[in-house]
Formats: sequence, structure tokens, C-alpha cells
Amino acid sequence: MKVLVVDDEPLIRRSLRRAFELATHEVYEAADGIEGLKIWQDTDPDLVVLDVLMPGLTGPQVLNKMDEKKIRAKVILISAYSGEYDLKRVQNMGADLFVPKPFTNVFDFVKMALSLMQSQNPISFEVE
Amino acid sequence: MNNESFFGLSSLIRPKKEILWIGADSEIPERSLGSILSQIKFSNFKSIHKHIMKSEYRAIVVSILIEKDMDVNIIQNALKGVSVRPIEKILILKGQGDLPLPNDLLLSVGEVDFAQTVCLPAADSDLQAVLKRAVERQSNKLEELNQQRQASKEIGQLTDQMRSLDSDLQSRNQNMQESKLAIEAKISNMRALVRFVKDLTEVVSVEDLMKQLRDDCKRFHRLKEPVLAFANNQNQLQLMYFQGSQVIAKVIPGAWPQQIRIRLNDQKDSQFLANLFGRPFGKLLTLPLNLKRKGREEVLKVAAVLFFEHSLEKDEMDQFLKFIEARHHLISMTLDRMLLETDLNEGSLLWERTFDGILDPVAIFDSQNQIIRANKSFADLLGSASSDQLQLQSLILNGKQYQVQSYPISFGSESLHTHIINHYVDVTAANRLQRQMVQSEKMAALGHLAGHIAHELNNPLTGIRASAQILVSQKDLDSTLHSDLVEVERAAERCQVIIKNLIDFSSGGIENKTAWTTFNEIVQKTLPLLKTLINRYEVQVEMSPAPGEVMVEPYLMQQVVFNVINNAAQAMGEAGHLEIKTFIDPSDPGWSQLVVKDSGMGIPEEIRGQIFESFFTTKSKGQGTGLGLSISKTIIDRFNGKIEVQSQMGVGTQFTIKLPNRSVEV
Repeated sequence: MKVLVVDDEPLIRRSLRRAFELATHEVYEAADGIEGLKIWQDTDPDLVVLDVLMPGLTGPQVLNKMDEKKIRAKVILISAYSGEYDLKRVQNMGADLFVPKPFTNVFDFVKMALSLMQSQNPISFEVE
Repeated sequence: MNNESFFGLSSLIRPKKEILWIGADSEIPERSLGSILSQIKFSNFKSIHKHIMKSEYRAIVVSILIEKDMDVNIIQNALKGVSVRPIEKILILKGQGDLPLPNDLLLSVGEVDFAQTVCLPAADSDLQAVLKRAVERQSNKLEELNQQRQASKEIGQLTDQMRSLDSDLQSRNQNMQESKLAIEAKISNMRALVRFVKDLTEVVSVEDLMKQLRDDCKRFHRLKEPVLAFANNQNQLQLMYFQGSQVIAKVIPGAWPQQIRIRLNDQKDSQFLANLFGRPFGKLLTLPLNLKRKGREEVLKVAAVLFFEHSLEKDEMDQFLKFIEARHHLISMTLDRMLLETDLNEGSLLWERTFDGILDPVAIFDSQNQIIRANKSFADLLGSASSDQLQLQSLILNGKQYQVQSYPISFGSESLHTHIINHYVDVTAANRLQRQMVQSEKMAALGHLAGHIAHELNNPLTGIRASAQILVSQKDLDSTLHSDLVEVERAAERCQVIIKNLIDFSSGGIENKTAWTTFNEIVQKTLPLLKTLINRYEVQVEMSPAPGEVMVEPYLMQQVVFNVINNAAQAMGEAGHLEIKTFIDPSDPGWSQLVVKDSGMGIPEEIRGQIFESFFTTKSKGQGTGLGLSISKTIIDRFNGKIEVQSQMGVGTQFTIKLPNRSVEV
């Protein structure tokens, strides 16, 4: 499956790529919101791991834009600022999950992301 | 010349004839004597006396015929008493020839002091001459008599004058005597007054004044000792009276009669005194005193009164009135002086008390920087300061810091400033508070900053940890690489824990996850994090079998314990002995205690007090921020705990953390 990682921290992108690639998924990266938006549109991934606080567009702003375009994917919001988000809010924003940084274990994170991808909408399941 | 037609005897007109011829007119010498003669016959002798008395005769001639006119009694009677004024009496005896005169006749006639006796016949000229001589003699006699009378009168006058002079002199003497006495009395009075004045100048209290007054009035035996009353204020009197030889003072409420004149036996006064003393009062002299000091209220007309009870009689009373009036003003003045002095002293005392009541040290300096006056606080707190120190704007003495506020003043009539008042304000607490505030603010800013930093750090840290996890999961790593990577991952995890705590701590406890826990639990959770750090030391851990329950945020306390143990490790360097103990001191059961003791180099005494201050560090730049202990202390304070340090150079350091025990409700 296709995964897009949008985060301004290179080591996060790199380590997530590694982790997802170990689980044999295709990983795309974007370093900021604008680039992320473009690549999302271009590659139509199944899962987007979206950082909240980024230069350019923030995570929620990206979601907004994607929502307008009616492009759907599973979205996990990640952020160091955990206090302000609860599930409802997250879902209102158009995301499916919120995971605070730092992750306790990157492999657990990947497992969780995969089960999220498999949980609904088999239509979005595409084998590339 | 008819005698009867000459003058009517009833006529009151005095004849102006000089000679009275008593006898027949035929014998009268002729010439010129007619003009001076009156004539009267014997038969009219009865009225002769009266007639003679009324006349101004100088001479009386009685012509007697021996035979015929023998009734000499009549002559005698007529001529008797004529000697009131000089009248020459001439007796003419007629006889026939030279008849010898009967002796009886002569004798009896001689009782009337005839000046001359002429025997007839005699020549006319002889008669004339006799008469003339008689008249002359009478004139002379009259003259003499008048002179005598005059002299006598003069003598009388002189005598009278002398008498009056005498009495004058006497009265003058008396006056002088009286004046002398009066003057002596006056002098004596003046002396007494002067003595009184002198005595009054030495009076130092109202009691003294009363005693002086009493002594001075002693001469008036029927005068009792004076009673004095003066106003403290409109509604309160100070009463002073004698009991034996003592003066008693009493404060009583009330007012007194407000008349300003000196008065005797005033009913209101007697009533007033009777009410005060509970006994009737006899005769009274009331002497209102005129004071400049009118008590606190200006409403009183009379500010002080003297009462004299007495049994003086009227003239003694007059004397006494004079006496007391002479002294009236003096007494008023002296009482005034006493009361004003008291007021002044009270005022002065009040100021002194105020001055000394000020808890801040205050001192007054002259232009030579010498202390003129200082209050009690100054003596107590700054007495040991040197004069140089005292001139500073701020000074530190005996562990207290003073800020000096200076105010220039001028004493005396100078308009320039002559002195300076220095007010030493103890700003120790204020400074400490300020430092604490600054520290708080620093801490708040720091916390804020820390929050940001923490979030910033989280990003790369997430990456580091994730990467480390991925690397660790690689197969075919040699064992060293593998274990290294494990350590890296653990380090990253520790960082995340620290950062998380930092975020929690700096967010001010939004998530107030306090819970009952024990030091044992906290230590047990923290030690694993330090395993690599402390396994090079000899570690002794003593966990109390009955640790007390404490209410804390466990994560934060873990941080504190981590920090303290970390410090201990840094103090010891490569090797040493570390002791960690939890316990409750039975003599201090309100506290749960944790002790971390190291065998490091120790903390020097000078800095021991500062180690809990933010940014205090002995490590060189870049090695430590000095945050650890100050944050630890803040955390401990937040949970109402204490942290103490004991240290000995070259031996080691011991940190003791105390937290309030959960009180067991019995």
C-alpha cells in the first residue's frame, strides 16, 4: 500500500520510511504542507501520516484542502502537542487517528497504521 | 443845765460826756467843763449805776456835803462794780470851813477807791486841774488797760496759736507715726511678696505651688488650706487639696461655676465644694485664676480656681483680700507655667515614644555627620555600625539589608538645611521577595521556554528513537553493535521521559496527576533509569519497611530523585559510595524522609546556601545548566516538602528530602 509521510523532521520521515518499507509498503515523503498536498494529489496514497505543525501549511490546513478536493485516504495526525486533541476533534478535522509524539515504539505505530488501513473501505485498497 | 433835761434816763443814747458830776450843779467849775460834764443829783443814785455802765465816763466826781449827804451806802452801791473799766473817781467833800471829816465817812467812802479827794472850798482852777488830771490819768489808765488788753489778747492769740500748733504738731507726729507704721507694714508686705515671688520661681510642680501658697498664707490664722481646681479639658477637672501636710490630686468629671470675678461666700461655690468633698463648707473666698493654657478646649472662661475656706473677720478679710490680690497674677502665672510644662513634657514624651515606637531605625545627623538623635530601633539594630557605614545609601548589617531614605530638615531659625534625617528601611525581606519573584518569573519564563524547547526536541527525538528501534531490529548485527544500539534507544527513551516531565512541569500541571505514593515506589521507579550511571559505585539502598504515604505527582518526584542521584554521581566521579535510604524518624513522624548520601568532594560552605538557586552551577559552561536542583526544590516546595543539604569537604554530601506524611486518622 501507498503511504505518504508529511513531516518537517527528516529523521522522522526516514525512520518511518524504514519501518513501513520493512513491512513492504511504498513510502512517499514530503517535508512541508505544500509539498505534501502536491504529492498527495499526485500519488493518491492509502495512508497519510501528517504532522500538525509544519512550515507553509499546517496539517489541519492540508486536510482542509484535501477535503475540498474530496480525496480520501486514511490520515494519522501526529504531533508533539498532544493536549489539544481528542478523537472527536480529530475526526471533525478529517483525520482518523491522532498519535502524540514521540512514539513509544515505531513498529507498534506501523502495526496500528496498517490495521487502520485495513479496517474500512476495501475500495481504497489498491495493490500497486 | 438841768440834769433831767440833759438826758432822759430812759434814753439809750450814750452821753458823750467824759465826767459825771454827782452833786449839785452849783459847785461845778465853770469854764469849759460844762462840755464834758454831766450832772446828776443824789436822789437819782438808784439809777446811777446803770447809767454809768452805759456811759463812757472817764471820771466821776462825787460831791458830798458832809451834813446833808451822809447816806454813803448809796454812793457805794452806785459806784461799786464800776471798776470794770477805768474810771477815775474823785470825791469832793464839802464842808463848812475846815471841818474835820468824820472817820467813818472817810472809811466808808474809801471803800470806793476814789482817786482823789478834794476838800472844798477849792479854787476853780484847782478843781479844773484836778478834773483834767483825772481825765488824763483815766486816759492813761485806759490806754494802759487797752494796751494790757491788747497784750493779753495777743498773748491769748499766741497761746491759741501755740496750742493749735501744738495740736498740729501732735497730729502730725501721729500721722508720721501712723505713716511710719503704715510704711513699715507696707515694707513688710513687700518683703513678704518678694519672698513669695522668689519661692514661686523655685516651684517645680503644682504640689509645690500649693505648699508655697499655704505657707505664705499662714499668717492668716483663720484661713484654711487652699483648694485648687483646674481643667484638664472641658469635662474633666483636676482637683488638688490638702490632707494633712500632703497634697492629694484627684481627677473628677464635671464643670465648675464659670464666673471670672473674685467673690466671697458664693453659694454656688459652696455647693460645688460640698458636693466634691461630701461636707458643708463655711465662708469661702473664690479666686479664679487666669491661665494662658486654657485646657484642651477653648470654651472655658475660667481655667482654674482657688478656694479658701476661712473664718476671718471683716478687717482681716480686707487685709487678706489685699494680700491675695497682690499675689493673684503671680499664682496664675506659676500655675500656668507648671501646667504648660506638663503639657510640653507630655507632648515631648509622646513624640519620644513615637520616635522610639517606629520599628525602623531612624537617626538625625548634623552637618558634621554626627548623630544628634537616634531612636531605640537604631540603637538596637544599627548601634554597631561604623560612621562610614551609616553614610551609605544602603548598608548590610547583621544579616539585614537596609535601604536609606534621607530627608533634609532645618532646626532653629535657619532656612537652610542644617540636619538630615536618615530612615533605614529594612529591605531584607523585600529583597528576598523580589529575588523570589524574579526567580519565579525566571522560572515561569524558563518553564515556557522549556515547553517550547521540549516540543522542539521531541521531533528529532522521535526520529532518533524510531531509527534506533529500527536499527535494533536488524538481523545479523554483531553483538557489540546490537547492544550499543540498545543503549542508544534507551538513552533516547530517557530523553523522552525527561522531556515529557519537563513539558508536564512547565505546563504548570494541567494534568494534575497527583497520587498517594511512597518514597520507596518513587526510588524503585527511578533507579532503573540510572542503572548505567550508578553501577560503577558501591550502592547501598535501604527501603523502609513502613514508608509513609505522600501525595505527589509521581513523575515529578521521580525527576527530583533522578536529579539528586545524578548530582551525587557527578560529585563522586569514577568511584565512590552511594547510599539511598527511605525512612520515618519516630521523633518527627509527620515527615517521610529520603536520604541520598555520596562520598564525593563535598559542597563548600560559602555556596551551600546558593545551590538551590536557578542557574547556579559549579560545572563549566555547557556542561550543566544548573536547573536541576532549583527545579527539584520548586517541585518539592510544591508538594509542601523540604530539601536539606549537609556536606563536609573531602568527605561527602547528604541530601535529605522530606515530604509530609499522610496523617493517620485515629
